[in-house]
Amino acid sequence: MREFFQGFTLVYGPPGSGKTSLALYAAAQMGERVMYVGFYETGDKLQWKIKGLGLDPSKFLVLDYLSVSDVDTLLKSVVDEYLKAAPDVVVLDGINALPQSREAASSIYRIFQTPTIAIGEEQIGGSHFAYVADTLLEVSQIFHRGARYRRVRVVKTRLGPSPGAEFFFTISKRGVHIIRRWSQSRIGEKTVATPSGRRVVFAEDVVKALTNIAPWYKRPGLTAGSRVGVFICEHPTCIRVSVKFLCDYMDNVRVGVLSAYPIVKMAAAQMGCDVEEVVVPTSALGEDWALEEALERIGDAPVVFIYGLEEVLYMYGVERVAYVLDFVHSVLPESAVVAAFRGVEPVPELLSMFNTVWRYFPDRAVVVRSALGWPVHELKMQEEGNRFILTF
Amino acid sequence: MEAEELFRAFYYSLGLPLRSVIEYKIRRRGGSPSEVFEKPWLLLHYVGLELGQHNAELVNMLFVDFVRKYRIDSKVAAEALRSPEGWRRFAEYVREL
Repeated sequence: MREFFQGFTLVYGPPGSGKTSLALYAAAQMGERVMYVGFYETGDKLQWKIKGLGLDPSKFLVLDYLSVSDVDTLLKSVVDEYLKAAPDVVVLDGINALPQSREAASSIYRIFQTPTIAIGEEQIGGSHFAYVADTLLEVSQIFHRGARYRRVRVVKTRLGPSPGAEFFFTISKRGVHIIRRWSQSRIGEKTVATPSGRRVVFAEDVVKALTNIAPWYKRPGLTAGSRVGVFICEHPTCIRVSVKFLCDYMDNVRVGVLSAYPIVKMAAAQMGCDVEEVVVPTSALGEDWALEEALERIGDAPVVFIYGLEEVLYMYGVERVAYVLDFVHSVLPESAVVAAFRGVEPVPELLSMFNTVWRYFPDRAVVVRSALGWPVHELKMQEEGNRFILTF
Repeated sequence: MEAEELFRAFYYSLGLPLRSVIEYKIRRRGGSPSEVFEKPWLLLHYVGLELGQHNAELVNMLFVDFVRKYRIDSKVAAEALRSPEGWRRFAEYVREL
């Protein structure tokens, strides 16, 4: 978070977009003594916000100023308090209340020598303050197909390389978090999980072909930070094989299961496998709090299985699917994520979200995409007793 | 010009929205806004209690700026609203102008 806030940072955007929360959270990370100067927010509301973000209120000196017409005297008073408090970081919330001249912007920039985060309304983005600021961040809130997204755009940086152009972020009682876009470059070399092979078995020649091209693989498994998309047919066999895979992973590691509808627990129980499934109704997946709560329950699992993403796709669109996956990976960057879609075609927009994509038919499994370069494209799937065998 | 008259002019110069907040806060403390005209030092007292010391300092600065137009010494003005003693000295100063 600190990487975005360098020198004098101006954060601007419409009301409710999360500017103050973003600034408070960043300020708390940047120093032990934060002086918050508010020209619109009252002290009580601000304290409530600080606590709501899970921050330590004792770090903050909150000065909520009365609105006065003599803005020059107001500025003088703020400077007096700044000199008295000698904080590590300053937050100036509602900078539109201060004089809007070039001279005022320049003098504020020169006076506040500690890292300073100034917050303003949208129009301040074109003001003298924007001109003098070292970093310019535009914050917005977007509603798309019933889902809410908060976005921060790095418009200008002067003190170092730009950390990137645009990010989503989330606000909750656990603080403010940047949702980083996943890419294949984030995949580690470490294998975080291998299935036990009790219920789904790769034939020996398949394993041999794989280990020939990727010697670090003793058997097919999941690597840290990887993403696997599984496109399951509507036939019950496809769901069964998917849940058997999940149970095989659960034999060896803790697996978090997030689902849009309660199906996995029941299907797994039939296989004698006890799954603790966190069900989040699709209607709640348009808001961040539901995801936050679900991930809190899942905890620090090395593997997360997500079921029911087709529901998210139908209701909110492909952007939300990407957001949900990025959200999970931002909270658990080292975990491998396996995302299942039922009755959905693996279209290019979805394929690009994964490093490996499988498609299950009742009689075969097809590798649609593989960053690793799987040596096989199609495997036959045969059910023998309680096991599925995958062969050439 | 009398000191009380000057204070009254300053108080009304604050504008209705700001006066409304101050008067609401005074009433909430069980006081009466007219009390402030009799004892001007109570203004900073109430503002400090209800709205924080930083706002009391801001109001004091506004007062100093206001009376400066009447060629009143800033040091005397800066103490006027802080205590009965400060007010007494301020009133004497204004009378002697």
